[in-house]
Amino acid sequence: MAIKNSEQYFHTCDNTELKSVKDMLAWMRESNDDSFFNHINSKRNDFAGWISTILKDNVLAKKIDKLKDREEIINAIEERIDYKNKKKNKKKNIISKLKEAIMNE
Amino acid sequence: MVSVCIYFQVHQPYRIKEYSIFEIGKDIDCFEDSSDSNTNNAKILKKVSNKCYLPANEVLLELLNNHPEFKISFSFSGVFLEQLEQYEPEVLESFQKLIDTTQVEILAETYHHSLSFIYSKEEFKEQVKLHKEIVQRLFGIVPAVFRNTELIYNNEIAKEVESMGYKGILAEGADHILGWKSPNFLYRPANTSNIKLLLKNYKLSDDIAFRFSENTWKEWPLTASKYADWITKVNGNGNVVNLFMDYETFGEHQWEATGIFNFLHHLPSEILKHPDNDFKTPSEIINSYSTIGTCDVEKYISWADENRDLSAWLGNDMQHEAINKIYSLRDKILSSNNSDLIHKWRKLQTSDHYYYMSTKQFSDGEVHKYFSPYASPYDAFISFMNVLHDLELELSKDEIIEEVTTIT
Repeated sequence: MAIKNSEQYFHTCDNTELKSVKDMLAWMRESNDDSFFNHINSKRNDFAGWISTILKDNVLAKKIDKLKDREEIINAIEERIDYKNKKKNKKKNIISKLKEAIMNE
Repeated sequence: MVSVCIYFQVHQPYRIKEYSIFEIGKDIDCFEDSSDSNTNNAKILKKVSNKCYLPANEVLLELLNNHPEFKISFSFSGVFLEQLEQYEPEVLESFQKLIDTTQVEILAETYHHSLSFIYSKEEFKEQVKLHKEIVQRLFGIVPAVFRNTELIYNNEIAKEVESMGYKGILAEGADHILGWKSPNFLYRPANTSNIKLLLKNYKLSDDIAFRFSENTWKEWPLTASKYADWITKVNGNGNVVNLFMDYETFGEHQWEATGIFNFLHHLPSEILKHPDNDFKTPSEIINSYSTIGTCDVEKYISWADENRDLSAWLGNDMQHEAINKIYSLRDKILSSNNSDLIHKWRKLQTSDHYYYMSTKQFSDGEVHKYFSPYASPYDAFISFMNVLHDLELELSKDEIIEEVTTIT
């Protein structure tokens, strides 16, 4: 899901605007260490803050908040996207099966 | 729509000449140095005027005349304006010509470019008042937006400045205060009700101020067209791009040979090529855009060094000793009613004196060394403390004379 309100975009220190978790993942893969660790260090974790405040995904936010390693963070986000996609597909399947059942009646 | 808000800081301190212990009490003007050294204020001002102020003002005047949509703002320290009147009236006239275009805003600050807010709110207010007076006298303008020395800022400063009647305040868009938030919007300082906060886009500002001539930078050489593209990309992601930098960037920090004047010359037209870009002064920004949220800054931030804190001026014992001593003299100095002594005392409050005493290492150390006229931070401290002792001696003399006058 992409954020539509520009006031809520994640503004990175290299002036990139991130509008979704997918944007964040792409930026995390490409950004240099200086930029990446500007947002995640011993004093703060901006990614966890944004995911919790704006995306309202407290499960992912809590998980990321404990991590400091770039690869671990990327893996955690990928797993979460994967989990959500599977959940979404499962929901889709159930709906289509229900629809099918209704049609067959 | 993206509004580009440019603010140039223009400041020169009254540097103290090397002042030995043997000069204390000899009635020597510590700010007057006719030698060839870098504490000769008239010489430095002439050099910077020729390299920066005059040529940059010439470019800006042409740009302001050719592009009525082009807007800029300046913050001049009072001690800078005073030195222009004293040594370089021609440069002052060239600034007045820029202001006459009505496309230029002047910001409020402390007359003596001091850290007074941290040590004495009363002294701070007095210096802002003195600054307002000199700006009004030289330019016929009453500033409406405030910027503190070295962009030093916190909630408390914003609240005080709001109570003084200012509608806006500038600060550094430091990562540790913004987190994921963008500097490209207006914010409301915590615990205030009307004042708006403009935050510097340090990435885009520093691309000009620091990286412009760095040939190892992957974006080098930076052209006005490329830079305008970066600004245009903010469309849809923010309302404003605040470009805050020292005016001395043009010609002094980035030499003419780097192409910095050519860059400046083409910048407005390149930015205005895109119909969704415009230029606004800080006051116009405040009148045009609403705040999108609160910005809570408890600890002091500044625009200096990588830390964006106060450690450039208050990072070691020498700096603390010097600054505590200067502010401890306030009551005595003011009650002397000796305007020369008061003015000298205030000129010693200029932040640069404490910056020269900085012993910060690593990457910032080079910056401190570059800007210091002294061989070492210890030399800066020794001269300063000797001048301070001299000031105390003058004060005692003054007190004795007053006592004798009262008796007789």
